[in-house]
Amino acid sequence: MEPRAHGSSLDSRIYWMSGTRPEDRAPDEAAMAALVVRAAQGEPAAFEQLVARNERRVLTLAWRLVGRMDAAEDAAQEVFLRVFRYLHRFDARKPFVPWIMRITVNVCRDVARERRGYPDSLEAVEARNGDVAPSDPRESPHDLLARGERRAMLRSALDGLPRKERAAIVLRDLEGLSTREVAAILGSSPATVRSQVSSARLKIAKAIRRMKEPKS
Amino acid sequence: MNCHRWERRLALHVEGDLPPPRRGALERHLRECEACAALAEELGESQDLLKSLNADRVPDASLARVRREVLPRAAALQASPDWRLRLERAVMTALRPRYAFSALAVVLAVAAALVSGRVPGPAIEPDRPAVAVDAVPPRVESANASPRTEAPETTAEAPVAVTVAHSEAAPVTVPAIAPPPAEARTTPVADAVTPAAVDPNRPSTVVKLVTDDPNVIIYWLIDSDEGGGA
Repeated sequence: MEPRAHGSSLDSRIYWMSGTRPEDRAPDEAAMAALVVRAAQGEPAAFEQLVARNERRVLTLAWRLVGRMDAAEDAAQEVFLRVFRYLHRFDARKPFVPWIMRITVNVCRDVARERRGYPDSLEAVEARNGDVAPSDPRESPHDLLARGERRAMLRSALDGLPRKERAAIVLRDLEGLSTREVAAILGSSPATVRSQVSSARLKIAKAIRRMKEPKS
Repeated sequence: MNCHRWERRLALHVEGDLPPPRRGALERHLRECEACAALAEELGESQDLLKSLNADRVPDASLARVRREVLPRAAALQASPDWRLRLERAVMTALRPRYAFSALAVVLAVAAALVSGRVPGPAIEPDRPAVAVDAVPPRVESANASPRTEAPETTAEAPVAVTVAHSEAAPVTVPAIAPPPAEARTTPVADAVTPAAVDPNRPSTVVKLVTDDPNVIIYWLIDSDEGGGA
């Protein structure tokens, strides 16, 4: 069996964020750095643009890490406020996205600790918001149902993972970062990340197998 | 055959995360073991399923709520930042970010030393050292030490943590300082304190500054008689 290739080059992969449209991906790093500098100097419009450029990736990551959309919204707010407070500490010569992802992971760790509850399904979130995630119009009702069940199954499997394993697999397999990048964000070693990721992949595969088995 | 030890490797192999030296042995095993080949297949399918979550998009209403909350609060913070943040920003703006933590730490150390010099500290048991410094050999740096050539990882979320300990009565124990290995020494160390420089009979104050960079711990030794620092 051939292992699957994991996406693109390191630099572009850091911006390959799930939940973002292609036009949102790979934002111009120079433009981002300029925004950071202007926002750090106290320019409100620059900070607003910084939020607009990063809100989807921050909220998506937060949702995947904490499992509930209301908690993810709280986490995303806290992330941007921390960014605002500590923007002057950021070295504008470095990429901004890993920095904000690291803040997101840390904030979500705190939020998850404070708010333990049942995760939201996307359907519940959509029902509450009156907002429907776009789906392929060619999908039949049967396909839609199968997609919903699949998502619920996966979210349930993700929610069953220990916090560190969940963060590792979300960053590695959903955000598409390299092991080294994940280790830098989580503040651990690549060996630890590999161990967490392999354990999480096995648990998810086994959880899916259990869910597929007919109940007696 | 007990294939338990192959499972974790398989879970890495399925996404190409297994280091090349181990790949060959695993692929040979996969050709011989049906159970592991089936597990590899299953892992591939579950990974495809997992990645299908990438199609989910957070609702626009949630994004709007985040923006609605954040922007006014950021504006309020901008209008009246607290004095610590204002001081930090001033220091950071004046200096390059990589030096600013050290500079800020030194400013806080001096302020703490001045305060502790006026206010008598709590009595410390004579058999306990004034500062728990024996766990990590300290690298003492002066305020005017040359800047680093290599920047530390930027961490935004953790503010500078400053631990201050002082003693009026107890002699200060400072362990011998081993010079860092040449390849690890990115910061030239200046004015290092040696045990000989410490008079055990003289009341002293030791200020330990723990920055958010684990490689930077600053010890500030102040002779109460002279009010100076070492």
